[in-house]
Parts: sequence; structure tokens; C-alpha cells
Amino acid sequence: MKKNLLDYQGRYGSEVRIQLIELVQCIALYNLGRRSDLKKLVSVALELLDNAQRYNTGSDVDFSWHIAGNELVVRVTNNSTSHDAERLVNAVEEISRMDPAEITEAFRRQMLNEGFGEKGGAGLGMLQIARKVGNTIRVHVEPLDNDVYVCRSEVSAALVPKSQ
Amino acid sequence: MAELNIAATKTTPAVHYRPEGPSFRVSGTSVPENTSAFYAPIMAWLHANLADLPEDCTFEFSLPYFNSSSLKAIYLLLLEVKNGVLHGKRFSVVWHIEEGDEFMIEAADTFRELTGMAIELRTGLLESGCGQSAQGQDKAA
Repeated sequence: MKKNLLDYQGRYGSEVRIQLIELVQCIALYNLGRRSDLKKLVSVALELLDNAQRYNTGSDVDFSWHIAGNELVVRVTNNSTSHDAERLVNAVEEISRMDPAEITEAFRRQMLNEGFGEKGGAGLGMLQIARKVGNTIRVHVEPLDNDVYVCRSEVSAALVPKSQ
Repeated sequence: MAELNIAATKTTPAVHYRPEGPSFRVSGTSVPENTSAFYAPIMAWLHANLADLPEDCTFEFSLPYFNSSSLKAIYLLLLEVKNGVLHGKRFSVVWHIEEGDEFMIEAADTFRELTGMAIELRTGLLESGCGQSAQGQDKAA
């Protein structure tokens, strides 16, 4: 059974981001119940929405959070520069080749590197997702026009039986 | 000592230093768009006032939700706290969590591993956008 929980397409900014995050928190709690991994699942949406705002060159976002069988699937689509699209693809490809121990070590290295990026991020978002819900990040980018690319990030998280 | 009194917003936590206690407290959701810009003045305050803080100051963190860049910012704050400990302070760190919350327990483990500091877990209900609803969900279950 496919259970759509949230599907948003429209204008995007700080206020919409925080409202979506709060809505996802409540939707997760009411549809999945209290469970020990609830915040891990919500954090997937939180990190993808963060990235979408930080690197979006357009004014809109396409965000969905739904359950397909025993999987939670979170998908975010936004525009970005070709440079940021390339960085996203490279980062996800690199993570996809890592085993869990390598992901943990890459995360640790990135934590110990004291710098933040020029847009105030820490370069930890995709590593954090891979640590928390598994190495199931997929990205697809395609040129739109000039230097603008459409970037779609998708994460599938297995819904293990409730442990709490 | 200069006061530290930052009110919470929808995307950033409240940050206060209270001489009574004494405690340095960060509480609320931390999902700023530019994490570095939000935490830089807090880091600067802590760095400038570290030597003047009472030696038994407690650093409390009560964050229902935070993003990964906030995780790094909190780690950098804890490095300052550790610097104080290395200079003879008896600072303590309290990390508030909701019962059985894997995400927050693992965050505390990460901080322990990276800083080598003792971090006390304290369990209770944290206020978040869905905090009251969480209580209702408990009753309905």
C-alpha cells in the first residue's frame, strides 16, 4: 500500500522550510507512532530541506514524504548552479561507495574539520543521513537552462518494527 | 562579564548564561539556514568569558531537533568547554533527551567520543512544535 503523507510543491523560503519541518514532525508522530528512531526519520527531511534552501537558485521546491510498503521515501527537488549540482552528485557517489565504517570515519573527519562552508553549512548532511537510516541516497540532476540544473534527491529508509 | 541572553526563534534556540545556578543553557530547535552566522557570536562570548565563568558552571543542552551543521556548532562549543576543564574548571555538561530517543543518545555518544568529556544524559519531555501532540499521542495509544 502506498501511503502519501505529505506532498508540497511551491514557493520556498525560511518560513516554509520551518513549517514543513514542524509538519513532518507531527505527521511522523501521528502516522508512525512514538518510536525510538522517529527523529532519525524526521532528520532525513530536515537535512534535505536544509540543502534545498542553502543551494536553491530558484524560488520553488518540490518536497514529498510518503510511505511505500515498509519504506519511508523522502524526495526533494530544487534548482541549483551547475557547480553545486556537480558537488551534490560527487558527494552522493562517494558516499554510495562507502561501507558503514567508512561513512562513520568520513563523518568524524568532517566534524573535526573546524570550518563551515561559505553558506554556513558543515558538509555533514548527506553523511548524517547515510549514518542514520542507511546508504540509500539517490540523486538525479539535469540541465534546465544556462547554468541552472534541476536536482532531485531521494532517500528511502526502511521502517523497521517499532522498538518503543 | 557581558550578559548572554538570546531569545529563541522558530529556527534557532534560546541561549542564556545565568550566574545563579550557574548555568549556560541552549534550548529549542536549532535549524538555522546559516549555522555559522548564528553560533559565531555565542562562540565568541564563550571564548571571551571562559576564564571568568564559575568553576562549577553547568552547560545544558535541550534541543528537540537540530540539523547536522548545528551538531558541528555544538561540538565546537563543547571544545571550548573542554578547554576550560583543561585549565582547571569543574564544568559539567548535561544533554537532555526524550526517553529512548536513539538520535539524541547517539549525538551524545558522538560528542563524548570526539571531545573525551563526560556528558550526563537527563531524560524528560522536550518542548517542540509537536510536543503537546506527543503527549496526546501517548494518551491515545
